[in-house]
Amino acid sequence: MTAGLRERPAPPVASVALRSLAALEVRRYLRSPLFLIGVGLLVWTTVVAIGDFGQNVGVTDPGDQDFLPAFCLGLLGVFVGHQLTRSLDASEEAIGASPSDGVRRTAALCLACLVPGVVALAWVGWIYAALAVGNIPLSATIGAGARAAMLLSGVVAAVGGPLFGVLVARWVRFPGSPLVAVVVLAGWVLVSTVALALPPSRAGTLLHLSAPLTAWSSADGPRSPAWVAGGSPGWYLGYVLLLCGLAATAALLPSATTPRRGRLLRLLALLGVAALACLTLAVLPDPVRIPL
Amino acid sequence: MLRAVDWRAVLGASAVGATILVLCAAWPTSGLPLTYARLALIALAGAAAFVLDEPAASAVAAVPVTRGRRTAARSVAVGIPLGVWATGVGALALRHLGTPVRGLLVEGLGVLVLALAGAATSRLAGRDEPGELVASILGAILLAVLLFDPPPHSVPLFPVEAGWAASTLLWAGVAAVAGIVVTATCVDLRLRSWWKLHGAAGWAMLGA
Repeated sequence: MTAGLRERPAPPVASVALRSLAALEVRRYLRSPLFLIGVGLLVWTTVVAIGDFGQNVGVTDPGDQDFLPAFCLGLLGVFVGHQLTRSLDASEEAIGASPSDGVRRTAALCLACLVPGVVALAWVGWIYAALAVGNIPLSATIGAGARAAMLLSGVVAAVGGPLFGVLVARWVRFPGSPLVAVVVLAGWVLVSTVALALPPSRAGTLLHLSAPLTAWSSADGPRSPAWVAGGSPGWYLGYVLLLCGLAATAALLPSATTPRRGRLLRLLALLGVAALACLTLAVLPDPVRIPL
Repeated sequence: MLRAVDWRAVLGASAVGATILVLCAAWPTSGLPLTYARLALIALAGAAAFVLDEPAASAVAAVPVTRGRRTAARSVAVGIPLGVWATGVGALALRHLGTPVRGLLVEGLGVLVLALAGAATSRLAGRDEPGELVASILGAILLAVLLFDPPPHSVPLFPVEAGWAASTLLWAGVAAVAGIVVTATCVDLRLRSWWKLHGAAGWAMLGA
């Protein structure tokens, strides 16, 4: 029996603690009223959007519906992530005596931010099912892989919003900071859409794709034919994924002690370089707009 | 009493709103950047929501000053986000001829008084620092309306081209109702218990 026990390797204490903390945070995330409101809003807006798919053929692409999970789960998730992080402050003294450190607690919070991602993934499945059931013709201008990347960038935005909320709560002790963070995020996305009104160029594509969420199809006027903006949706997806990694790593920094802090800083630099590389690769293709 | 206002939140959110409005006025575009300007209004609503925050509530409760007087004194601070909005709208009007100044001013007033009413109601419910909660909820709702433009479209909350008259009327109504709510939450507790006890009959007796 002793030999049997010896053979089975004991799970590392750190990972067990992280898993149980993450499970706790996931339950807290699922109970958050703003998350539940966001899910309800996502269902309602998707039902309306799917109803309009047939009418919007040639005007917009289903791939551009990525803003639905990005808003309903991502932007509202900034408040959820912030609130969950700040609510931990009240129990700081009690938890401080436990073997679980600040980095692990923040890491558990970051893992809980995958909850809206799972919901958004289910939403992508719903969109594809609706397209298949409704026999909706899709534009050949956008390939299947590019469309999937567009929709998945909405999933990444749904995770990125709460991660940004955790990051803001960890770094800024300013009342009203989540609202300011939301306004800044929304402003960043809105400013990037200005590039769609400019003549096509690589600089314009860079402005367009630098935001954490983007629209791919647009038109020069209400009665003008729609077109697809330049850039690579696949590399853009990589860029927003790396932005999420940057947010999570930066959120871990304030509670990290010296040796771990150095490792996190190196990881942050690595992720930053990789994100810039992905953005460059996303901007590289011909910026010419192609009719939808 | 104004010293007790959480100025970091009020001035910080007002500064964010002012920055966005300056960028809107300076942006070299032919059309009126209404969506961006309304983004500034959301930040300003956040500032208004923090006006009634009382971090030292237990100490203030011992001071012989009624809630009504405290709220009235603190409501003056809403003048800062309101002033930022009015200045921003003025700057937009100078830059873009045909800016619906009256409509935008009433819209701003409505949104800010609504934020104040939310904070006042939350304070009445026993929350000493309602700013964070009210700013989050109101900000999320306003952003959802701004981005999704939900039906009914007969009365547009944030019009772009048409529907300014209906929208102005709506926001004026919202401002009036929100103002009444703020006043109602200020009524002294003694007066409220008197009203509970005597009701309309008491008022009739007073009249006689």
